[in-house]
Amino acid sequence: MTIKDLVRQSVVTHNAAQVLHLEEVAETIRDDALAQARKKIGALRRGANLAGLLERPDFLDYFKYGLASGVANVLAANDQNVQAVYVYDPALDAGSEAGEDPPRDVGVHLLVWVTTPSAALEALIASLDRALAASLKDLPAPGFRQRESILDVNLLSDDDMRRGVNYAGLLKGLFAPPLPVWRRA
Amino acid sequence: MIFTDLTQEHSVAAAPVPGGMLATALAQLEAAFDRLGLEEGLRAIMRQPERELTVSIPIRRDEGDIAVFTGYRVQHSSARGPCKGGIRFHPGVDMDEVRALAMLMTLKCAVANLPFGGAKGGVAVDPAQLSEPELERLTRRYAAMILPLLGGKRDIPAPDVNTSERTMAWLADTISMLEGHWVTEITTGKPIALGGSLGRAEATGRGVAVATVEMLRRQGRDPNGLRVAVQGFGNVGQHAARILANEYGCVIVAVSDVSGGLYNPKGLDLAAIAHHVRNNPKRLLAGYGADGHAEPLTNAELLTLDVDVLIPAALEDQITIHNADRIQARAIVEGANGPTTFEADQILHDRGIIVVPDILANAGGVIVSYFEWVQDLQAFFWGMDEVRSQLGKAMRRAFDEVWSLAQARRLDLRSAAYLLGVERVADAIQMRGLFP
Repeated sequence: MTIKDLVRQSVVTHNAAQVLHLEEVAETIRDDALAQARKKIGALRRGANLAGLLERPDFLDYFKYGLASGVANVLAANDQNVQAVYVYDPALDAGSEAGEDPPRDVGVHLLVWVTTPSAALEALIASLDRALAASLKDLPAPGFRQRESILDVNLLSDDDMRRGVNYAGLLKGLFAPPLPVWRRA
Repeated sequence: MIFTDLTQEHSVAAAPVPGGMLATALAQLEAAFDRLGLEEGLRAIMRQPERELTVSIPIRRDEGDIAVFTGYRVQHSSARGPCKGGIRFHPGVDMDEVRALAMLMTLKCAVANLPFGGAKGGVAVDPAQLSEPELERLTRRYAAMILPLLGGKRDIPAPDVNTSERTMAWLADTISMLEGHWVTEITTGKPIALGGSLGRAEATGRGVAVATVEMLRRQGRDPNGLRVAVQGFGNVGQHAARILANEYGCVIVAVSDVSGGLYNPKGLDLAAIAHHVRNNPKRLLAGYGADGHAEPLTNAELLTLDVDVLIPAALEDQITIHNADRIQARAIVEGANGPTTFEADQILHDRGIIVVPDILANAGGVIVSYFEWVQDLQAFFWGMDEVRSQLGKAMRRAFDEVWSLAQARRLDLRSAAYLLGVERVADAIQMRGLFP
C-alpha cells in the first residue's frame, strides 16, 4: 500500500486511538521514500546496500524529498486549509560558488502554507514527526539512529504569504528558493 | 565618449523585483550612477546584460519519452574579465531572475577586485523529479548548448541552488570531451580530485570573520573580548563564529539555527556546540544546553540582543521594518545574502548602526572560487595555509578600499561598496572603449 492509497483510504486522525495507524502511515512514507530514492539513482547503484546508499548525498537528498512528499500528502489530506508545501535547505550558501556538499542534515525542513493554522494541525505534525522518527530508527545510518524528531515544519499563514514576512519571505528570495512539494489544485 | 541609450528593452532595472536584495541592489546601482555622475550611455550599458542565451534542452527520460526544459545563461559584463557565476536548477528559474543575479555577480567581483565580470545560468527544472541519470543528461546537454559562451577565458560557471560539485564535474567532463582534452579551468566548485581548491567550505565564513575584525579595528576597537551574536549555524555562521573566537578572541554570546538559539552572556563553548551539532541526528542546535551551559532563545530574540556585532548568516530578509528599530548591536556584518531589507537598511543607517554589506562581507566564497581558477590555469595547487593567507589578504584589501571610499565620500559601507563596484566596471568600459 502506498501513501497515496493510505490517504485516499482514510483521513488520518491523531488521537491516541489512531497511534497505530499513524505508525503505519509513517512506515509507508519511509518505504515509499526509500523506493523512490532507489529508483532515482543510477541503475548501477540500485543494488548497493542501504548503508552505503544513505552515505551518498544524492541518495539522501532523494530520500528526504520522498519523506517531504509523503508528509505533505498526509497533511493535505487531513486539513483542507493546507494550500501548499515546500521543502528548503536552511544551510544553503548559494552564491558562494563553494559547491562543497554541506554537512549531511537528515532533518526535513518544510514550509506549509495553511489558510487557518490550527492546534489540530500542529498536533498532527508533532505526532507524525514522532512516528516518522521512530520508523527511521532502524535505518543503517548514524544520522537517523538517535533522532527524536525529523520534521522541522514552519506554518505560513495567509497574512505571512500576503506580506512576504517570516518564513514566507523565503518564497520570494533569490538565494535559497524552496522547492514546491505539493499544491492544492 | 558619447553613449546613448537607444533601448530599455531587457533592462535589468526594469525587471520585476522578486526579492529584498535585488531591490536594494537596483536602488544602490542607480544611486551609484548618480554619485558618479555617469553619462546615460554608460548607465544603459551596465543596466543591461551583454549577452543572453535561452536554450531548449531535450532529454530522454528513463522511461524512454522525451522531456524538454528551458535553460538560460546570461553574461552581464565582461568588461573586467571573464564572466563568472553559478548555475542553478529550480522550477522558478526565469530570465529576469538570471539577469538580476548576473548583475549582482558583476558588482560582487568588482568590489572584491577580482578580474572577473558577472554571469549566471539556470535551468527551469524541479531536480527532485528527475533521476540521477536524467540530471546528468540534462547537465551535459545544457553544457553543450551553452558551450558557445563558455571558456576558461570567457565564462566560468560554478555551483548554485540545487547544483553541486558533482554537477560541475559532469559539466567539465562534457566540455572536455567536446574540446578533446581535459579543460579544468572551465568551471569552479569542482571536486578536489578534479582540480577543486582547498578551503572552500570555510571560505565565506572566514571572509565574514576578516571583514568583522577589519571593521572593528577601523573603529579603534580590539576584537578580543567583544560580544558577537551569529544567526545561522550552517557553513557560513559556524566557521565565522569559530574563527572569530579562536583566532581573534571574540566572545560568541549567541548562535542560532532553524531549531532556535543559544545564549550565554559569558560566551558559548563553540567546540562543544559544534560537537553536539555533528552528533545530533538533525544536525541542529536543538537539545544543546540542557545542562545549563546556555539559555535558549529564539531567532527573533537573537537579532535584538545587546551585542557589539550581529552577524546574520542565515536567510534573506531577516532584518526588516518590523525589527530594525529594536536592533541593539553596534554593528552588523552580513554573512547571508540580503539579510537586511531596503527599508530596514535605512532605519539602521539613521540609527548609526554600521552595516558591512553582503556584497563585501560574504565575498570569501567567490574569492576562493577565483583561487581555484588561478590554480587550474597554473596547474599548481595550493595548501590550506596559502588559501587562507591569500583569502585574508584579498578580504582585507577589499574592506580597506570600501572603508576608505566611505570615509572620503561620507557614505555608509553599502553605498560605498556599490559605488566602488560600479566605478570599477564603468572605468573598465571607458578604458576599453567601444568596438568597432
